[in-house]
Amino acid sequence: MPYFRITLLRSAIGLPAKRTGVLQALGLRKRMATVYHPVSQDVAGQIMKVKELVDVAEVEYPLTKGEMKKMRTPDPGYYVERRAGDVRAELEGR
Amino acid sequence: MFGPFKLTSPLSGGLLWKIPWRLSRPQKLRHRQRLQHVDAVVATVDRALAKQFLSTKGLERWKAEMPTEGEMLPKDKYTIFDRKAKKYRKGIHSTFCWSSFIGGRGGGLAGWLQERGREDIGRDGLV
Repeated sequence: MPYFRITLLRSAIGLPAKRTGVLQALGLRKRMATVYHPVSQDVAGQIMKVKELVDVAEVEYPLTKGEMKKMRTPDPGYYVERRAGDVRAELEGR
Repeated sequence: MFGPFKLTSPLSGGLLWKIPWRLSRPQKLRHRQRLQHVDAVVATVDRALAKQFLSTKGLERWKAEMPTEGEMLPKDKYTIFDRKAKKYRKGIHSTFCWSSFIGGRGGGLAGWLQERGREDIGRDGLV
């Protein structure tokens, strides 16, 4: 089931209150917020109302908040080695 | 006549517009990019709906009536109708929130004000 990935690029500050209402209905509360909605005529109509403010892409499945955070988190540059005891216990367990 | 209180044209006179009458080259470039972005959004929505054999009235109307960025004339891109301006055109950047409303295509607040002959209100931010 395809989804629209909608990201708010530009704020609706200073625009008619109806635009803010559409953004609220889409679940976009601040800039750079991303929401996923199933592809439907209703959502398409909402996007058309705020097309100057948002970025839209069609994706196969929605990502959770955690997954999106993981994608934008850079590699920390280190990794934690496991304790030798844990490793041995694992080997003996086999 | 030096320092923070030096006599300049804006300080010595009353009303002096400091907004240039035309857009600069980078402003025009960014404006075109915004127009292209709107085209891309509409195309994405259209493509996604077409896969499910769907469409909406607003989308069909947009496709039938609205030119894409490439099809627009420079006159429509960078200027907008004004009944008080010389030759009835003024720079698009003199409309309120012009970069959020892509007003050259007759939509948004610029078009709304134009319909009512109140394009001067938007410029002062009184909307």
